[in-house]
Amino acid sequence: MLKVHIQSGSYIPNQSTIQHIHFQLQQGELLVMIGSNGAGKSTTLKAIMGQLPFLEGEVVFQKNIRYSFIPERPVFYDELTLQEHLQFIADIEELPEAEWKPRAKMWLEKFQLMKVIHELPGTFSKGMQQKAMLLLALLTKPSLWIIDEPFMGLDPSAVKLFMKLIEEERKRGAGILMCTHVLDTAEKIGDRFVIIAEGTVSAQGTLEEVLSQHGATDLYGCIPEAE
Amino acid sequence: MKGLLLTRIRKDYNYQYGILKTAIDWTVIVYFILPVLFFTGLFYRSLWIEPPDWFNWFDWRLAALVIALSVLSSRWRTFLYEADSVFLIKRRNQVELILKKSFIYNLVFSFMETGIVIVLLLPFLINFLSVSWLSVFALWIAAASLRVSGKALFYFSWLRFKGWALQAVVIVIGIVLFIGAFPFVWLSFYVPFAAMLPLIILMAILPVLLKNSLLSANRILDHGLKEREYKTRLIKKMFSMSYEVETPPKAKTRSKPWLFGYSQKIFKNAGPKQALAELFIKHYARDREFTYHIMRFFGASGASGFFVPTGWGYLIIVSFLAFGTVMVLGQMWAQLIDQHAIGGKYKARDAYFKVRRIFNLIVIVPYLIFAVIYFI
Repeated sequence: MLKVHIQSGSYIPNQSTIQHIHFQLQQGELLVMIGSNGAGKSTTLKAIMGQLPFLEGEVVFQKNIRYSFIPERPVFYDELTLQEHLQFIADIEELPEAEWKPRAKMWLEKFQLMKVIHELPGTFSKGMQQKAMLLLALLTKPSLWIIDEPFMGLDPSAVKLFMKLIEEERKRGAGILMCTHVLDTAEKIGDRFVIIAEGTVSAQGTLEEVLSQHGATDLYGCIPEAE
Repeated sequence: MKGLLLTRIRKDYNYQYGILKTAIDWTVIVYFILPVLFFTGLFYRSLWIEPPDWFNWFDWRLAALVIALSVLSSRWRTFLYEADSVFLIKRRNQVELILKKSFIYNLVFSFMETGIVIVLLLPFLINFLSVSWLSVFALWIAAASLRVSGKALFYFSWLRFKGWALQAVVIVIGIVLFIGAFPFVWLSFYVPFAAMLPLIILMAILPVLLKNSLLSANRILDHGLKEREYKTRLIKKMFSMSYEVETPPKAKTRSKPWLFGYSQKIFKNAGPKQALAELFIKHYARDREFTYHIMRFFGASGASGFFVPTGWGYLIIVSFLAFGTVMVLGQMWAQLIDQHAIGGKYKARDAYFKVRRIFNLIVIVPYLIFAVIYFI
């Protein structure tokens, strides 16, 4: 579904921020990428999304795959309402109206966003923006999810809803690549883990494998402590 | 709080200078800025020594046009931060003092800005129009006063009105200032004192008229929001020029768009091309800053109709404008698609290239018509 082979990547030429990052994501798998602040997780995601200016290596998506990216900080069009964002995604992805409208309505109600559908998402609260980003991603029924820090700003009920959604998506066969700092949750839901430290992969595999590679008892033990 | 405004002004300039430094290294200075400054200096000197033939294409209206445009491009600064609201209750007097001092800053700065414009116009005014130094002085006072009034009135409108009303008021003020500049410039040349007096009076009573808005500490959050917008203005411009960088979101005060408020569709049919076209039209039609720039562009183009040169000069200007418009259009598309987190994944789609081509054709048609009219 997704093969990542990064030799090096950076924002400035010849000053690599990430190097030797290799992993794969299979269908129906939840791959969790963890690491301390500044370890290179978001840079890796940027490299995967083709947004890193200097990259040596390759990122291979399965042919014609439909993917959705949810960045850490929600981003919208400044002048488009939530309804217009939905319409834009649906039209450009050529989704049949009979398919996307009921789905959008259901998630709008679940996320309690129906009352702000004609408002500009840029003015929403942080949690509402996060929900709106999720909603846009859900609309296309992606086969691959790439999510950066999904729990930030979500209220407890939305976190619960999001976890349920992830589980459903996995059952449907979608692959999920997720970056998070919420390690307790990551331990529970992740199939495999990639630990990033100082811009490179320090360990990867199932929970047992990464713990034994680091000689740790939980994921907290795999992250270098702040000095 | 003593000298706080000055510290903030200095910080603001350092911040903007820091942004410029990220883009301008010594190679840009040596190979671009210094040569441009040198040749511009030589060119300006030559205007003094021997007035060029092309001065004959123009008359006093060129000076009026330049002044009218300079009056429109203005920003009212308060140098208050949103975080200052935390101190409002305990230190209201100081906040009010900053606002009062910022009025003086706006006044002084407007005179300096206008002074630069007039210095650039001087060879034309003195060597070609043969106006007296008293008239030049009158022009400076009149233009600077109009500029202060413009700044204050635009800012006042932003504080007082929202949505359609704001659009309408800004357009009316823009038109009145733009057209109003012409008689004042004419008067400064021929009846200097008559041009100065009404504007000096207007400038004197303006702060009193606008006391509850421009100088109001109660609007501290609005002042802070506008300042944040100004502070990030240059950095946003630089981001928008780079295809590699995502466009940062704007600070917003309204939750609903002023146009198509209920998300009405423009195109009946649904499809990738319509989606992209609709995104482009709605995004830019609703963007006040953009519509304001477009209005200035059309205003300047319309007014320059007075001075259109004949012969190849006409065709060169039309071609240059057409090329510039297509370049700007490309940049506008890049902001929405290539540089955007949502649109980025569609940047290689056929529909995107097709829609861009269609838009390029649409904007080139008026220029082609102008060119054909010329040949007929």
